[in-house]
Amino acid sequence: MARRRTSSPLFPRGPGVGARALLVIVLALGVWFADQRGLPILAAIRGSIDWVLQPLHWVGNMPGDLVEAGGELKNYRELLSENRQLRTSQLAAQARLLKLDALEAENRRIRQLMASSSALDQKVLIAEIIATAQSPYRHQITLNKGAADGVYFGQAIVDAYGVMGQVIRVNPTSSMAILVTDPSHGIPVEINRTGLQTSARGGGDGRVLTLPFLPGNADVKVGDLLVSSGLGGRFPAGYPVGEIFDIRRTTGEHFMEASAYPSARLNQGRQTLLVWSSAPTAAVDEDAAAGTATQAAQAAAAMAPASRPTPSLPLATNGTEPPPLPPLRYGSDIAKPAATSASAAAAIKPRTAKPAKPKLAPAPQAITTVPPRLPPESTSPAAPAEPPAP
Amino acid sequence: MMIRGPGGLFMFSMLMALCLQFLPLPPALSAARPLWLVMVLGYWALYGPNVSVIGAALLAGIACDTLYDAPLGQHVIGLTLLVYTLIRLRAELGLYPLWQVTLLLVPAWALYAVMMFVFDGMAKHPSQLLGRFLPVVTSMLCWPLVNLTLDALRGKRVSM
Repeated sequence: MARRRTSSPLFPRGPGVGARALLVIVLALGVWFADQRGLPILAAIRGSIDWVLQPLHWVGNMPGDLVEAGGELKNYRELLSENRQLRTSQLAAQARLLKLDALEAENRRIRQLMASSSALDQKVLIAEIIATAQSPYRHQITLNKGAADGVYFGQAIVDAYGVMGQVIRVNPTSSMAILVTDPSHGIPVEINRTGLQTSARGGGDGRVLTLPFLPGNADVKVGDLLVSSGLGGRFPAGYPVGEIFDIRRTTGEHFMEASAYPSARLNQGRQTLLVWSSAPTAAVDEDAAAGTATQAAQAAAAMAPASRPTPSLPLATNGTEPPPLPPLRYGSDIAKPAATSASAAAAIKPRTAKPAKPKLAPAPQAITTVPPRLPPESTSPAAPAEPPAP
Repeated sequence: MMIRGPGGLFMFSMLMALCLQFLPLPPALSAARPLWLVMVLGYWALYGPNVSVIGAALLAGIACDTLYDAPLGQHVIGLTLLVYTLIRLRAELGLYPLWQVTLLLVPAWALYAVMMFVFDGMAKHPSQLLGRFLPVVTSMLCWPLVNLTLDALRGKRVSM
């Protein structure tokens, strides 16, 4: 009698099920342990699987794309006001850019004087976010640039407002990155006001960073800006990382803990910037006294080229005086950071404040388009016939 | 209504489950995302015709591992164990009405969640156990829907 498998399709409990399950589980366990040890061929396999699964990303993004396409049908008035707003902010940004040109040139001269060999312009690449964290306790994003574009493991990603995270896996045509708020992410930072070096960890809830091991007597205030310090060479120095909003001192503990909001807008926008960070500069801390000054200069230098593709980065502030962070508010605050950066230059080396002036001279037509926000000592040689500030 | 036989519907449902599993959602909703793949695999293990559910669990597990960036093998082990258990239980569970099957499936899903938590712990990746259990609850709510939908698509008589 042929009562084997074909006769009873309702109960297909063939002898193979258990054996097959066992085989699969044993194989998977082996692969799991191999993956824990970091077998290189598994990374290649994972890359190719990810490539095969690319269409899933497209399908998964389709609803979002449709919503976005629908959102593009804005009304005319909204577009008009947005246009006006953008125009003013573009003017403001251009004013800053002019200032940054001067500062960059000045910085290069100072750097040459100091015989340091740090690269000023960093290579960047715009990548699009094609998928975001599918699981609530892994804050990770998938980018559409991979090894084919030169992306490497550990590469820093930033957006227009600050450091977003780093690449943890590189596939041929895509890469995966964790955000600074991921609980397994840490980044070396310094407090911009004082130059205090510490590290910031992801808080895990997607919104905050924590600074766990601050000395109990550290000079930290609410509102302090954290910038990446560049120690370790993985992140470029000087990018904003976060802003402190809470400091907790526990009585009897040696360390205090601070919390910060990340500067980068982690859940907004679809583009990120992959940054090729140069090797860590060697010119830091020759002597302890000049340490903070050189770091401040470095931070300013790193900020200047970085804001070329992303013009809305806050202007570099110096380490010698505590300027209130001017975050992204154009118009009324433009004169203030310009003044502080000028005084920063004066604080680092007084006589180099002078050469900034002729640098502004070759671009008079650009200056005249800008509402006169520049500080008086730098506008006087370039554009003497400007109307007063509105 | 059938999509090129039960095999075609099987593949179609797996693809749909994959898409639903990895559809980008806001973080608050994403924490409560039902275990779509687990549910669909469980349906085919319990009620399916003679299709290779173990093989499907293997493929789905590999996809999960890649897309969640988990160590390769973690979801494969979990899904395969779950599917194997359900295949073993299909003779018994098939007798019960839908709501009782739903209640009986909750421990299996919870076991899956604990397994994933343990693997995360072994891989030194921090995660919260509570966050792992929220999908189990939503899966319990979604299971009757999945069950009845797939029954209807297969043309089976719906019996509560």
